Amino acid sequence: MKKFKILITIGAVLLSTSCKDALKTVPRQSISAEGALSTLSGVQGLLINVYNALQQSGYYGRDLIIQSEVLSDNCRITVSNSGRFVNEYSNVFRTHFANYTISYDMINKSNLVIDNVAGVGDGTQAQKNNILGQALFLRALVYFNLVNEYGYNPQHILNGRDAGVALVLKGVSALSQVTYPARAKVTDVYAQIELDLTTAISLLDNTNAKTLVTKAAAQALRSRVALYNAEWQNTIDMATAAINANVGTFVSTATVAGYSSIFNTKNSPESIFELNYEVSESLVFNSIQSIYQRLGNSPTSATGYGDVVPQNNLLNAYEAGDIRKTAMLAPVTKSGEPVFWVQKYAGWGGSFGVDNIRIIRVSEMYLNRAEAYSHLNQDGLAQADVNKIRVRAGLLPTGATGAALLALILNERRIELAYEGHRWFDLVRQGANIVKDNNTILFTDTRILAPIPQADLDVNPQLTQNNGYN
Amino acid sequence: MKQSLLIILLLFAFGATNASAQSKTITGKVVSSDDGLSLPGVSVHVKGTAVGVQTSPDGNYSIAVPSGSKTLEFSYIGYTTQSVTLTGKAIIDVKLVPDSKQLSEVVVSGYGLTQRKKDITGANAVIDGKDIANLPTQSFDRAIQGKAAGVQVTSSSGIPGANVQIRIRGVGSINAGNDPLYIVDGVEVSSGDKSRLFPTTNALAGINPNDIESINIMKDAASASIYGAQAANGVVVITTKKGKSGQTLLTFSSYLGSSQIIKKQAVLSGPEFVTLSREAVKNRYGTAIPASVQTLLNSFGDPSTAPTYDWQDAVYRKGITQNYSLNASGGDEKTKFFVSAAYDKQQGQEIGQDFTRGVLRVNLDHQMSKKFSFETKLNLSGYNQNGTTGGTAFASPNRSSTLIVPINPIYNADGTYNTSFIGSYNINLVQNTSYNDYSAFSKRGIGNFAFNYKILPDLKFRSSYSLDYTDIVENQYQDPRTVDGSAVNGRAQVVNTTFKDYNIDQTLNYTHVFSKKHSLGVIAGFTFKQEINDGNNASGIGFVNYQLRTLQSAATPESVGSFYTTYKQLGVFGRVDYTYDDKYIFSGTVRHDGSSRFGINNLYGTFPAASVGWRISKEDFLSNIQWIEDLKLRGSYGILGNSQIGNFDSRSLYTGSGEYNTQPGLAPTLGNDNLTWEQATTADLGIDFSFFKGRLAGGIGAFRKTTSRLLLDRNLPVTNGFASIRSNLGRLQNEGLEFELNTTNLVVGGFKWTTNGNLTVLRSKLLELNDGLQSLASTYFVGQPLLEFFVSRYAGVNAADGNAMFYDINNNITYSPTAADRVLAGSQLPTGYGGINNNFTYKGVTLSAFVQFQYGNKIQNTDGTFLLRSGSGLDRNQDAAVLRRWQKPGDVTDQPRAYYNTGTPGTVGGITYLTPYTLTDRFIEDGSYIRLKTVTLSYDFPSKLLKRVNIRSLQVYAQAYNVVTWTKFTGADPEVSGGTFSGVTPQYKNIIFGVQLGF
Repeated sequence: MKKFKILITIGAVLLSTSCKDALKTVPRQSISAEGALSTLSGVQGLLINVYNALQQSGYYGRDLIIQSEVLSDNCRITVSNSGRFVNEYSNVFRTHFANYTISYDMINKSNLVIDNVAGVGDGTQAQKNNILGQALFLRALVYFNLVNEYGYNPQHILNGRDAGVALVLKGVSALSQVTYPARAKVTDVYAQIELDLTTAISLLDNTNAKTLVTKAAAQALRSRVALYNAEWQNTIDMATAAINANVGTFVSTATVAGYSSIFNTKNSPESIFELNYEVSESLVFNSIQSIYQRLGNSPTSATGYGDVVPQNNLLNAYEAGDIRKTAMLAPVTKSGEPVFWVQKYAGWGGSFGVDNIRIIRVSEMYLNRAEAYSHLNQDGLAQADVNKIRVRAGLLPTGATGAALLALILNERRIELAYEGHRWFDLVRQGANIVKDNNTILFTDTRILAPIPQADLDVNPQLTQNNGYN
Repeated sequence: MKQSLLIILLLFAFGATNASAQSKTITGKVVSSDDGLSLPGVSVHVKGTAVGVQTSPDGNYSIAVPSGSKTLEFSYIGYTTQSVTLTGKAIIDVKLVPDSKQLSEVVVSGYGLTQRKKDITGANAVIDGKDIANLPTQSFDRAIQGKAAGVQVTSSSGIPGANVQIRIRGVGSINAGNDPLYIVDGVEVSSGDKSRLFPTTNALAGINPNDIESINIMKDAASASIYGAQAANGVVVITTKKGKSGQTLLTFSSYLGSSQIIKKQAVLSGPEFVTLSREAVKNRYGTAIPASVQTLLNSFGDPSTAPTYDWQDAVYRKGITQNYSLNASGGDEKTKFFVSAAYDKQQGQEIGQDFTRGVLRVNLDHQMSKKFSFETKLNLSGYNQNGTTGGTAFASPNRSSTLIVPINPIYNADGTYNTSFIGSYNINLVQNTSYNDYSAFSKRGIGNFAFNYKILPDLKFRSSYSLDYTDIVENQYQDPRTVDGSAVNGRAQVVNTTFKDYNIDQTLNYTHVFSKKHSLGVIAGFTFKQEINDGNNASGIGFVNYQLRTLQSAATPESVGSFYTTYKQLGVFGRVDYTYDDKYIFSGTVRHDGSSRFGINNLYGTFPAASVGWRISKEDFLSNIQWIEDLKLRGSYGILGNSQIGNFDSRSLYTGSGEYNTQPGLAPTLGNDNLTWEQATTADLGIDFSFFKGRLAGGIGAFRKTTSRLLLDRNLPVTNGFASIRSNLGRLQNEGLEFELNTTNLVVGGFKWTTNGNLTVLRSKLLELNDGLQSLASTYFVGQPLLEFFVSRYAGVNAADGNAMFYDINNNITYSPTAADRVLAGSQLPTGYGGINNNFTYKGVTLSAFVQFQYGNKIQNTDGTFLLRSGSGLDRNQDAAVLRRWQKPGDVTDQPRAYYNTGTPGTVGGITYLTPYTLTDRFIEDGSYIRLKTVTLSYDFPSKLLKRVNIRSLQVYAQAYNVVTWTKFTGADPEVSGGTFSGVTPQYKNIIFGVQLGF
């Protein structure tokens, strides 16, 4: 009995102490919202996650770039293929850009950074400005891509359909913060993007590596936004500022090796902003490289697909003697079909499927500026800029003027930026029809805009679908 | 105590000597009427006196009977007591008849409670350890398939040691877990597939089925509610063997055999493939074949000379199965032990797959004093699985062996592996399997220590402490010489995972019989549990050559990771059992449970249940009907919880996620402070009976289980950065009937035929979803059974042109069905299942045949969508069914014409040629099957013979497992967990020969 009493006592003591916080568990691999958002490192972690999200194959890692090429008149699918992007090439109804969900994921995280960075307890003002500037840039970049996928260009609004995308500018980290927004007007979205970029330019400097957002990157994106919105002088001013920052350096060697050097190093000399990939982050089969070529340009390699190749439409747009055709297109015979494999993403990051994704190159700035000059009838300045691109490509400088010059600049833009995800947006921003090898999509076609995901329409009665998808 | 014992013995000895003076000695032997084996330890007692002896180990007895005695009584646990009138014979041999099991059986339920089966008012299914021993199944969960009403068992794969899915009374949840709770000797053990890299492992394979004494599956609220928030999916209580005092018994058993694939898929030969390809191209282009397609076609060669290589034969084999197990049990009055050791090795029916296990068990019971006893149970096991890439990967042998173009040779002429392939399936599976490593090594220790203290004769305190530790090390090496490995110059991966489960239970148990008629049992207790689950993983790429196969030789680390998660739960519970005069039975349980998984606003819940029983057979008006041995009505009602939700699902947290520029990132989750358990309200009605001395016994039960507060993701506009938030919404219902029947059909001159069968019919219905939605994920539809297939309908082949036709939503024929044309095409859940065992014995020879079946479910044959493309891709082999394809106008068939359509899919003349193999009800097949699961022929040598060589028992047997399957399903195996046949390793069939030897 004595023994028993001792045991009971021990048991009771054990129980009463263990009961107190018996159900308390600590998630060692996570922290609370207060903990995360009150330190500079926590806010920076969120920002890193946005960069990480840009890398995924559903965004800059593959789809955003490849879809732009195959939905438009630039690329097609090989006869023998893995089934990827086949429907995009045929512009099958409802097959379109589909990054709506991941875009708002990135926007929410950027919003959380923007909302909280000022209030963190540590860090210098310069550090906070740097983080805020990056977050504003990233929010602007994602909204810019979104509004161009789901809404008409502000200069080419069809039949008054001026809906852009829902403009959410407050971070959500608790159920009480959830909102059910309507779509903002395209012009309002553009205005917000421009405001974010202007603020970012004032906050940032050029000390960050170019795999992060710099002031030059914000100026360069601001130039692109201005170009899309037909603000010609802004386009010119911002392009000039971005060029002069010298974050990206124009490669002027007019040889195949010279041109290739823009693309066959991990960090491109021309990049103003590029997305870094470590070998451990390889997308392997889901990479851009895997879509454009097989390992070692070998048609018999089992690594990679090599499914997306230039349309004849694009091949015919190259002028004779263009260095870029030789440098960037490798002729191969794939399952009996002669095709060209694109060399802009050839695994220069150190392993198959690893390439830094160049989001803004300095060459684009010259082309932005040339186009804007041309619109302002400053043909001499426009020629100077476009000829910088032409001469490097081994072509004769142009003396064209007026409409012929603008057409030439646009064709030069197509060739220079081919395979880099610009083409769909460059056509749609001009209200152009899309004339492909296999069919033609008129600008009045429903398929010019992407469909808003049905799931979001179902849950949010404020939201409206794009015309023709109902 | 010792003294009094001595006195009794002395008195007894005196009495015996005394009696011998005026009595006569009777001798004889007691055997079981069942199998004729001798019964040791039978109590032989002269009725009306204190005189009694026990039979010796060989069943013999010798008793001095006082003169004037009239009757000898033979009694033994598990057998009907038999009285023999003394007629002056000096030798009386007795055959004892086993009790009808139904009544005498003791059932172990939660927290050390035992109940006589006749007193049970809940719905329990009890399986005897003998029924699952010595089966080539690696784990007991697979062995109980078809053996219990209301319990559906499905193997996830034919890989030896694969996880098994158990669903008790249907599927009760959409997003929370559906697995039952497993209790082994009072310890809550973790179950399921714990692997993170390997295709499938089964945590329960760490327990040797031969160590199991009995399994009690508690299905209704009244039985399971003592486990509160964990009990909604049922509770499986496993009791392992204990030693008995007396002679030490040694048992050795072993079996050897071979396993092979259950069914080979019929595919095209080389010539048939080439013919199909030519036809497909001709049907598209006529004679204007593009050069690139012609080149491709030419590479196939001529149909008349095309070779055929059988890739299925190359990847499937006859695997050797072997098992050895040894146990010893015994002890004395104070200390009892059961120890066992076993070694298993089963080579898979597929190359590269095997399962090797060692298990050790020690069960000890010690009575320290009259009041104080303790017990300890220890189970240590290690099992290694080798495997191959599974699922739908191109490197998956079971998938790709049917799809590789059959003109691809396996070996080159010089004996090296062929690596140059025609078609999309371009991995040499044999090479891959022989070069790559893929393994999971699981180690498991389950230990329990408990002490019991009798405070009063009827009041017992029990304190139990246990640990369940699981550790899994998974390794994968992709050889640089293989397709997957060559891209990165070899890849090595290591994944470590551990689970630590701590359990503390404290219970007070009071039992007393008042005035001989009021029997009362009360238990009250406290329980606490914590599980810690953590792990790490690393992978590296870039190896000098294939001989270097571990991480430190990798040129580049590819990824590293680790994780940690935990949950805690505590509960207090009480239960009262009251029986009046063995006639009226009442039981009530309540448990109050808390779990760290729940939201801060809903941490605790209460789970009550009650049941009543009425043994009608004890009423006077039935007591004179001799053939009614037992007849009982029972009913129960109660509420159970399902707490199988994510450990931190309820909390808003920031978790390390993503990296950029080698900097780590953070990502938020959206928590829900109100998140809590799913709630299952279960009502049960049943009748149990035993007639004609147990020759006709069984039970019929009906249940309705309604799950409310279903965990569903309430949809949010994704513009918030989150698509949904997990909430308690929605309701569903399962209802069904369960039948169990055990009959002894024939007993004639040593021949006995018995039948045991069970049948469950059930249906599920989704009652309500979140946000007023009528459907979820094209799988769940309000008002319909769960897990429905939602596809458009196949209308067969147009006899005029050979094109596949479909119905649109208005029942008109279309060639291009859209999402709007989809209709419900049946559920993946069966509407009925069960099993029937027939047992024939004659003088030690036993033949048993066990049939298991299920019906009413549909299977999505995803592999079929790859194998039945009418040669559209020219890049993969096709099912032999394609041979009956449409070839000329007027052909009436179910297989469309061959049509090559790679390159420019889309619409040609209004027909989308991709649709013949997109998912329509053409590939939703009837999943009903009947399987002759086991056929066993065994022979028990007569004990008389064995005694001469000092052997207690000897049985030899031959057994066939998964012998024949009858089904309409066209894939390799209708046993599919999850309703989709996609890259599943089919089940194996075994033939084994075994021996069981007892000393």
